[in-house]
Amino acid sequence: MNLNDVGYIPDKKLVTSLDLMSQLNRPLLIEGEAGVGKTAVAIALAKLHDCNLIRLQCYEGLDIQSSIYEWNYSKQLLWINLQKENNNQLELKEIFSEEFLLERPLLQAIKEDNPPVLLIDEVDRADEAFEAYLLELLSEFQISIPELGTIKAKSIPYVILTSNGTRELSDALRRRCLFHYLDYPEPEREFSIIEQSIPNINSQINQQIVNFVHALRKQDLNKPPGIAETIDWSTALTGLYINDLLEAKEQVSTTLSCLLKTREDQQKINDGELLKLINIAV
Amino acid sequence: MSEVCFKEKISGFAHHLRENGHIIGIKELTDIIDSIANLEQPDEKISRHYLRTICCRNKQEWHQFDDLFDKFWHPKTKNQSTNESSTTDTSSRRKAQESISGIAGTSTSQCESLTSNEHRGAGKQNTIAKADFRFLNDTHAMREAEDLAEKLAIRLKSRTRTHKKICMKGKNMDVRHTLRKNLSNGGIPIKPAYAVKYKKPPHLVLLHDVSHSMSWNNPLLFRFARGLIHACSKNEAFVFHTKLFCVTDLYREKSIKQMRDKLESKNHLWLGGTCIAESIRQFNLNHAKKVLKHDSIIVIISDGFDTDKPEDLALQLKNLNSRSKQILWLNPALGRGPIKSNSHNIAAAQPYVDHFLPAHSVDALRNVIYKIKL
Repeated sequence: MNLNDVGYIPDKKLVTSLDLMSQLNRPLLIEGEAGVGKTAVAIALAKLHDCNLIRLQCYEGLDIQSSIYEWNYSKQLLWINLQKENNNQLELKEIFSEEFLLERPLLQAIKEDNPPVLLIDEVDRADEAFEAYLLELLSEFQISIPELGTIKAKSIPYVILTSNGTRELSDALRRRCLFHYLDYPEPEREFSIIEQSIPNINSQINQQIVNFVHALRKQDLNKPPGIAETIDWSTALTGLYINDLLEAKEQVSTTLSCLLKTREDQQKINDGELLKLINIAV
Repeated sequence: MSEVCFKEKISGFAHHLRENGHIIGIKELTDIIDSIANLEQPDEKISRHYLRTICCRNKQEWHQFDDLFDKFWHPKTKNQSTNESSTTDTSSRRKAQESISGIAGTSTSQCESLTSNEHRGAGKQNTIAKADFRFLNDTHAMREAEDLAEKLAIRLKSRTRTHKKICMKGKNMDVRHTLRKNLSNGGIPIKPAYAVKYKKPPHLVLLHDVSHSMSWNNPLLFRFARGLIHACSKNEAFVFHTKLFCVTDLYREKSIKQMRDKLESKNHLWLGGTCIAESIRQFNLNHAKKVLKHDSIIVIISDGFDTDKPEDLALQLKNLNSRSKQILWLNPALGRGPIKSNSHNIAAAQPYVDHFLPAHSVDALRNVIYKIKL
């Protein structure tokens, strides 16, 4: 079984990087433009290994309490009061035990018996302090909790970090990861991806869509269309029973919002430009 | 190939990569050897992918890798392909230069066609953004590049970092702090503590070289600096040649015309020579204590031509480095091929500067915004 069987069509470079990741037990940092299928790699990998996918979506201000662990304070308080009422002696060790620990995604990932896929999505959106928290996990696969000690991974998870490159990641984080740059797919691969997502698509229109999108990506756009946008557009055109772009210029123009997501981009592709792109595609 | 020979070759390749800016440690080296040794059928393509995945750290290294790989493992083939690629490179470079010189005004027809209404829009803006500012002789194109540079710098406003502080009032109660605060009450939350999030932009201090050698670049860089100052009310700006002057208020002028007039009227700001080390010394002595905070980012805008000794520059930068979070050096000469006469100064400054960045075009300045540490 390979990634193709679980609905992800990878190129050779990606297969090699994933192979190396499991061979060396190291996290894989995938960088690339938005919409090239970075997150989909992790989802497909979880399907391939038939294991859990644990996802941590990063954002500004993400902290240790939301990503690694937190103490269950209300439970601790209740327990303290209960012990007081029963006149039992209190020991600090009892309060700070695993019973009172709330596991967040990163801790969950290292406590699983079967290695899960841990997706740390858009790590560049998190603060630098959070990157520092990650270092121990990514190099040693362990988490140190001051009150409890060090928790080592029961099984080493497949860790995938994704980044859109909105900010420079620290060298320390990069050094702990293998690196893969995911580019927009080549026409042949994009053709196969669309074919797999929309099995009933006519191959002529599929080829035209691929040519059109590739020509569109060469334009000076703020947000070039990714694979997800191409699939959306293909679905829209298939739904309208269009088999030739040249014969359906109007529909192409009205459905272009599936590919162009900003007002400036839509203004750039005026009727003249659109006709040129259709001619290239056909 | 014997095992020893194989390991030597791999170490040689690692050394070759290091020379070209890759960071290859012992861990990477052992990973390479282990992974290739584990291959059932060693194959160049797979080995190349393996090495790329282990040795690259960013997009630039990823795209540069094939060239470095071929240069090391296939030096002869590489020469041929280099010749071929150099032809295409030269032709593409020539094309690019043609497009640049078009805006520069060497060809009036091209220039007119570019500035005509037909070509207005992103395509033209993109060409202007990529063009070296030195070649922009056409007034419209120059103004457009300056506008772009200022707008770009103002984007820094959106690059903020979220901080959390504990307050007496707020929406979200911070359980940990509340419990700590109420330990004396047996954990009963009589005095609640709230976590309040707030955004903080980076604090920039600009040191802008306005000596004669920078006069070609300064129209663009003034606007960029003005944008940086407008991005946050606490940013500060200083200009220097042989002396240092604070110009934060000048850069804060709302009207560009007024800013220009004031800058031009202050003759003492314009002198021929450059004493970078002396100017930084004056900054360290008279302003640093007042202006710098622990998280300040110093942005030096200069081509590095200095009449002071390189060791003096190193000493002053060392001092500055210890007081700030990051030092960025924007050098317009960097984007224009190898630097010759000022290389000693640059070499002396290297250990204390986090990034030397080109600043010859709007596109180069775009990169600067992303290098600023939050």
